Amino acid sequence: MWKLAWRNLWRNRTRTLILVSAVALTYGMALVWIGMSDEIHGDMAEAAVKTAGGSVLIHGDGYWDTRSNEMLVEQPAEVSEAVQSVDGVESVTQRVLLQGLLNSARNSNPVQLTGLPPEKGASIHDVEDWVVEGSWPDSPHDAPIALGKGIVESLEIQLGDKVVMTATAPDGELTRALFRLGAILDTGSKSLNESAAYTSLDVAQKVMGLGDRVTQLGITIEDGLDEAKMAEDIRAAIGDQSKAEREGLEVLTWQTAMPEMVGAIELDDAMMYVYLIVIFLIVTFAIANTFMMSVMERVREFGLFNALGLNDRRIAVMVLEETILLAALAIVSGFVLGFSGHLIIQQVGIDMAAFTGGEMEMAGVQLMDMTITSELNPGKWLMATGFVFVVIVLSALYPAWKASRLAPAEAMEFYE
Amino acid sequence: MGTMILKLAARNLLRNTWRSGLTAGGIAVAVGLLIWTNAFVEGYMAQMIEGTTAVELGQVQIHRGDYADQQAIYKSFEPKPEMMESIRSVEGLEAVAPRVEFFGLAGTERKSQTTRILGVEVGAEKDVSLLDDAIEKGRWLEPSDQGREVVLGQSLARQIGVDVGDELVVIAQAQDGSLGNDLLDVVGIVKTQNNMIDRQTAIVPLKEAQFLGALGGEVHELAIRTKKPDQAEAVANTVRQRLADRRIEAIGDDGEPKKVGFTVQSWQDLVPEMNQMIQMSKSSIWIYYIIIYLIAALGILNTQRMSALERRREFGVIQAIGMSPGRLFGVVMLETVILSLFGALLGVLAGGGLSIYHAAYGFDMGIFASHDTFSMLGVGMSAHVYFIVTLEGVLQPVLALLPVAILCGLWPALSSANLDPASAIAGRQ
Amino acid sequence: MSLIEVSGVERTYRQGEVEVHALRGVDVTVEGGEFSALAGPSGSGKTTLLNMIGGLDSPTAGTVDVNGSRISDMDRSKAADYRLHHIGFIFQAYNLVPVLSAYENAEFVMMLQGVPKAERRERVVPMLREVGLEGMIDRKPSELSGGQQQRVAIVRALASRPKLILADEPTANLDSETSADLLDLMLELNQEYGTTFLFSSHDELVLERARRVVRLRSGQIESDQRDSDEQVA
Repeated sequence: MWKLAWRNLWRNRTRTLILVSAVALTYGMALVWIGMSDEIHGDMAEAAVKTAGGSVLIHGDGYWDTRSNEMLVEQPAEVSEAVQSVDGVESVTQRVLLQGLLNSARNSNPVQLTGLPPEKGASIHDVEDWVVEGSWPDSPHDAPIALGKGIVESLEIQLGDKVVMTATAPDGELTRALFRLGAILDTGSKSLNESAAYTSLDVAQKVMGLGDRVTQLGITIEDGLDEAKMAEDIRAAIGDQSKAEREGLEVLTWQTAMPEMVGAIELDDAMMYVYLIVIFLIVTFAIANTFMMSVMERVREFGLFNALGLNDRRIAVMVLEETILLAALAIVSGFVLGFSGHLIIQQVGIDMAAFTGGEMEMAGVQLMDMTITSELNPGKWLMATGFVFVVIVLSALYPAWKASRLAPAEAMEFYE
Repeated sequence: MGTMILKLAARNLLRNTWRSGLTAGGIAVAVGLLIWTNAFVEGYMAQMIEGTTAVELGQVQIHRGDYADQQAIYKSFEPKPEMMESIRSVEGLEAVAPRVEFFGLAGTERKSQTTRILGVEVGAEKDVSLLDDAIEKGRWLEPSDQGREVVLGQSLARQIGVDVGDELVVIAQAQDGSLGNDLLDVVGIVKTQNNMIDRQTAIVPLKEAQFLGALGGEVHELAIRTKKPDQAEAVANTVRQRLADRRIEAIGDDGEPKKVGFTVQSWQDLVPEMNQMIQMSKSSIWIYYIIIYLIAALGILNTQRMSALERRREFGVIQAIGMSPGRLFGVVMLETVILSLFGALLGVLAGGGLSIYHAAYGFDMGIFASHDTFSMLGVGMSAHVYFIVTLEGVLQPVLALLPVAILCGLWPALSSANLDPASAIAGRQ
Repeated sequence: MSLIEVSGVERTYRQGEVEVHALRGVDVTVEGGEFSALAGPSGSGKTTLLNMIGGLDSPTAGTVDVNGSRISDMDRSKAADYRLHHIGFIFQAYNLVPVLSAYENAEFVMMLQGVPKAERRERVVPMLREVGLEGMIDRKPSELSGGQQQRVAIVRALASRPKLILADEPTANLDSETSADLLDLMLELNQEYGTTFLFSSHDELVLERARRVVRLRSGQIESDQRDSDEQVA
């Protein structure tokens, strides 16, 4: 029967080829689209993680909502140790984050000052790589500060110049701290260049009178682990170490910290699926049409099969077999198309920077990687493949049923 | 003769209603989807422009010439009445409002925050921005413009820990370098979805801001609202011409006196990344056109080719009795075009109808996501999008379909016109 | 000058590797007003010859002139135009346009010629009545019997007043009674309008009525018999 179905498929070569190419094209395009979306969403998530400070974050309770300088992690060393013992945790970085106003003799500029431990890679952003002038983290000055070049221009200062940061200290007092410009940074993002300031962790702690306390513990976790589950484990681990300490801390995943980004990714994903489904609807019309035609054309032949003793059910099965073969053929060629498209885009990349001017802010996150490549997510590709297969077979159900039902005379009438 | 060809084409299509129906259905879905997409993008972009301009920015802003490179408190100017008059009379302009803007600290005795102080002339501001509509709690500033009062962004108020009815200390470095400070009543809280306003801004009456900054009667910015959003660039151009010859005395960065002019910017100049985003979104719709029509085309091609192949004998006879190949070509071609136009009409009805529905009641994208607000380029976006149906957005998919339909009709029409009548009649291929 | 002059016509087809000689040098002339038949078994070349005369096929060698025009040299468009204005065609059953009514099929050729609507009506309605289709003129071909369909085809061929009607196996697929009626009708019309009829057929009913029978075999003329009794005039 399969052999007969296969031959039937090739009886009208051009028709089958057009249909196969329509399905293959759509399916291949869907794969590429999914691949590109996954990559973009991956970039967006990564940028969100960088902006938040880690996949999982620990702050003084209520800090994230208020960004208040006085909400601190009281015993960061102890908490950090507890977190590091959790399976799947890659690194824990202590940071001080301070909102304040930076003044020079000429002007003032609001900044977020980040105090980082000295070791390389302590920031998720690679501050070292951004240095365009001066040196970082090594600096000849006592209280060095690295500033985005936008701030430097606004304050009209040069390397070595004094700047004063005015910020609220943990006790609620307005404190002024003196820094010297140690490095000028180009982060690649205009808005970061206008707001980002870095100093070392101990300098930040010292000038603001923080003692050992920090604002944030940024935690990175191993690839592929579920953030919510990790946050749960981390919360439990802190609890084990010191119950009192846990009461005053918030443990957030980057998703809870940046809900708008999660919303944007989900929305984009959902819209993509809506479009893919509607586009497949168009293909379904074409498939149903073609199978209807091929069934009606062969109505006399089906009558002959009937006379030869093939029952109605087996005629329907034969038509379905043709569909399955066509689906398989289309999926194989579509996969080749989609996979090559994926490989090409992965290699070459599509540079969106030309359209967006190099960066794009979304949900409070700077997206700096504006080159779209493609990412293969086997689960999603498999799902799309299953969907295409089911859609094709479904669209041939009615023609198959019709084929088994139609008396030749009736069909001729229907057809002429 | 023309009517005969039309009649033949139409009847041939009706001869096989299920086949024509399925093909037209496919085309209708394609056209409908594109119309719907156009209306969605228009609505979404309008929401972005509105979010960008309406809340605070305005459609056009005027600053002192040197203010754009570096915003500093001392780069202010005096809005002379005759200058204001000449701006107000520009066609397409709805209202203009003066503003003062600088950074300072706002807080209580316990706690303070870096804050953007925005001074507005209460009466004029109402006509330019929607700040007064964004009141979440309490009330907007007194229209008298005399109050020592302040309206705070929602997140800022939470960060500082003050609420309506509390007092707020504001400290700022004034234009002359002295430290200005004042005690203000918090009368209202605004929530705009715009991060800059919600997280950083304290809005005070213009006179209060001028007092804090020791600015006298001077301002930093004139914000203009145009009658329609798309007039922004035209209004900016006219204002630019009118202010072209005006110069004000200023002290340069080097301390020497100099003369500076004015900068006039439309929102497209002020937020170029938003403008780029919008342009890119609009132009990337063509990718959808190509993908969707490519697939629809393969469907049309397949059916029309089959339908022509089926009628080879009939076409052979028709040619034998004297119909010229050219006319036969016309008939078959017309079939494809009529079918496509019929499908397009269905698509216009379905896609247009759905778009009009979504224009009236909005389309809730929130059903797809766990969070129903998100922000882009600092502008808060609602997931509830009101579509905008334009004539262009409806006609474009139909017009773009025409060449597609013609291309799809070519193969069947050419092969029908070029068939060999003798063998077609004899039933040979 | 004769209405049809066929001289030295050869026609060779290629069927895969094999060359098929459908016509091997045929000379024949047909005068205006004849009611003649090309006869022979299938494969003898009679349909090919008829197609040559109608400009549906071109000879490999030789010439075909109809009414003084060299139809064998015309391109597709010219030949179509020539057929439209000078030749009527009747084929085997089922050669009407299925989506047009009997009346519309009958006036189809005139419509292509650009004859005004009123004149078309004037010519077609009486003829349809004459062939016995009164009251059926709005029916679609699928609602007519095979004989009725052929009557419509005859009216279609005749209504435009061509000098020559070519009929390729017009009685195939019809029963003998219907065929006989149909042939009598054509003979009547031949006498009434003086239109030349040339058949290709192996139906005895056709050959009985034809006043001249040209027999072909293997692409050559085997015999050319005239019914001399009736030719006397």
